[in-house]
Amino acid sequence: MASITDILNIARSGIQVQSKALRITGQNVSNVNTEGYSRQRVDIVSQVAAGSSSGIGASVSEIHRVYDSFLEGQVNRNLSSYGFLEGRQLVASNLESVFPELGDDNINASLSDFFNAFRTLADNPSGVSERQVALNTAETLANRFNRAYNSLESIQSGLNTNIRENVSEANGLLRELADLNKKIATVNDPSGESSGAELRDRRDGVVRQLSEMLPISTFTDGDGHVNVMLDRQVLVQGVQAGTLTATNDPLARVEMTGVGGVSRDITQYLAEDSEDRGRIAGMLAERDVHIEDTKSRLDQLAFTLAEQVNTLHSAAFGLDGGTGRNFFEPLAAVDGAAGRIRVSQELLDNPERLALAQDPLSLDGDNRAAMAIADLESDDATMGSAGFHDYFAETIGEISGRLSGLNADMEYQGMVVDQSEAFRASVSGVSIDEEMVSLIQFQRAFEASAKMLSTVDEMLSTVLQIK
Amino acid sequence: MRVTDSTLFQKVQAQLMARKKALENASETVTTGKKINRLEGDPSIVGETLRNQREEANLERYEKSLEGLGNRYMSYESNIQSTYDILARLKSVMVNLSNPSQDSDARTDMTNELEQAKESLLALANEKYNGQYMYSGARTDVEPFAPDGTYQGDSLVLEAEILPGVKMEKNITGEELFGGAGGGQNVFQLIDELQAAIQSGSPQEEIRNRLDDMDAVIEQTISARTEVGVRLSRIESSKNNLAQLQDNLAFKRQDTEDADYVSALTDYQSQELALQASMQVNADLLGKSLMDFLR
Repeated sequence: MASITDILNIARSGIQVQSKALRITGQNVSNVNTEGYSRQRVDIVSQVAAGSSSGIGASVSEIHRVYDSFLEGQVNRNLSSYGFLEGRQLVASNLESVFPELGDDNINASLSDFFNAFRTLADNPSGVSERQVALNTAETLANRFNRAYNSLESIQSGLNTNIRENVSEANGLLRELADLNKKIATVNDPSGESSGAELRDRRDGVVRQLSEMLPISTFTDGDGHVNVMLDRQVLVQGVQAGTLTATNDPLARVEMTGVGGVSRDITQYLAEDSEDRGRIAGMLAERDVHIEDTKSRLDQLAFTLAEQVNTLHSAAFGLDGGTGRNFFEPLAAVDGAAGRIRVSQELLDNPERLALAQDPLSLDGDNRAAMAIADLESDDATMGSAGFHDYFAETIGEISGRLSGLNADMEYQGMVVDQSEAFRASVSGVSIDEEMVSLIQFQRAFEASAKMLSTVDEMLSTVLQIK
Repeated sequence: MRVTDSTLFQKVQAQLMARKKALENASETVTTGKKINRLEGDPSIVGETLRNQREEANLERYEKSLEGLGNRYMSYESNIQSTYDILARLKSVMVNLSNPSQDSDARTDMTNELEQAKESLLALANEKYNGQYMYSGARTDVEPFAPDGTYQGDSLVLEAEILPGVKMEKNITGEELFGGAGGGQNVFQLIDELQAAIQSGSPQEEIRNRLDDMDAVIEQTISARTEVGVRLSRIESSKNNLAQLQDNLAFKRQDTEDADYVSALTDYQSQELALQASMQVNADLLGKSLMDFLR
């Protein structure tokens, strides 16, 4: 037989439970725009008195995050792919300005000008102004090679700075993750004020940021700690975090020190052109693979051009009868040739020494060496299987293909990320309409519980009025 | 699937951005008139553009080369014409003189005539074009003929590029024309011999004996003039060829690089319409909320 005070207690538990539910509804509504917030739900259970089967009201058993770890993992994997492209995309607009090949001031046009200057010289080999013009166009060509090469190097060093910044940001995140693991372990009040839901959201956020930077994988252990692996090595284990280091090399290498204290270089692993290795890997791939490749193609072009022109030029005779002179300052090695190619200072100072004649007895009118140099332009085998122009066009075509491919990939991968985030949000996101319905639902329940209270109050006064 | 507020906003945002981007691209095509404006455009068009740039620069250069060569051969032509005129006149004087009825006055005339002819011929053989001797091969700073008729130039025939991969001779050496190399007759030696013949005991006969040599010399000028004529007409047809190549290139550039205005504008308009429609729908969608119905 229930006493009136039992009914009073049931009404009280109703008010408590409904107001807690209202609090959570309020929390959800106010976080509707919070990035990475997972909506929370109160689990309400009916309470049964100990030793009897009669109900004694309701209580909140748990406040839990509505969350799907599979969907979360999918978002993270997609973010790694997107981050990789993002890292590569950083340099796209810079590359565009290094090679203004669709305009008029570019290496391609300079190459034409250079060879055409020799055709002009062939028309009038002893003309002083023609010689001057030819040397000037050659200087412009060399300058454009130098400028392109230097710009590529400065893109690389800009990437270096970016990589360092990202590495130190990643270290911060790794430490934060270990800290959060520690804090979350100490929270064990599933139904109370500190259910740890917000901390868990933050930890997921950290993992998400890390995934965008690095190809990490995570697993949750028995203690509820989120552990991080990178290239089969443990980087965060429970409350311990490993570190990443960017070395001081001109092209910084990335090293990883795992929780076990073992260090190793993961630059190669990251830079390998695999599509899902995060932003740092994207920057490394651009710096060490793509830009390096463009540089070496420019080097090859500059080196071969200088070598072939020099061979023809040094066999010919200048107006002063001198021979054996180089047209370009000799280049010691292919590596860096585009950055160092220069027109011989001797010729710039003495245009009459420009050697255009094959016959030392006919210096004034013999144009055969000039013609031979001009003919290099139409030789289709100067660069092995291509001429100078075609080889350069291939280089530009490669950049162009890379950039347009990158754009398409970004667009596609952006869509994939959006989609997976939408899936995640469809489970974890807050819907205002839904919360409004809950609001009304809990408010009505609260009102009813309050009504219960006043009814019990009336009952008690009825009892007390009995004389 | 639940629809949440943040996904809804994100989707709308992404859609509007994509539409705006498409509209911006379309407007860029319209304003620049080019199919692609950045390297990230179609790589095959980029490659084609680079090839076209190069071809255009070369064709411009060939145009100048042809112009220069044309002028050059025109001066060869008038030079050879003058040479021919002098020789033809000399021949008629010789024919006159070989006629037995001529007296000593005619001999004096002939002497003067020869003197003048030699001077003029030497001047013609040593003529300069653009400050360089025309007939000395590659040795353009050396007078091709000494007063005694010795050839001092070389026999180099130089070339200029006039069309892609096509070269043609840019000079005629005086070695054959005036010097009679290759079995011909040296003009200056002939005149020296004629001068000696007039002073000899039997001028009529001596001069008559030289008539064949004179014919040989005239033959040399005629064949040189023919050669120049052939080259001039080759230059002329090359100019036509070049104009054709330039036209083709212009068409090709238009075809590969330039945007088609009609389709570019249509594209722009349809993108604009799409953006407007998307904005309208989204504004309507975002305005809907349960809140509007709760009092």
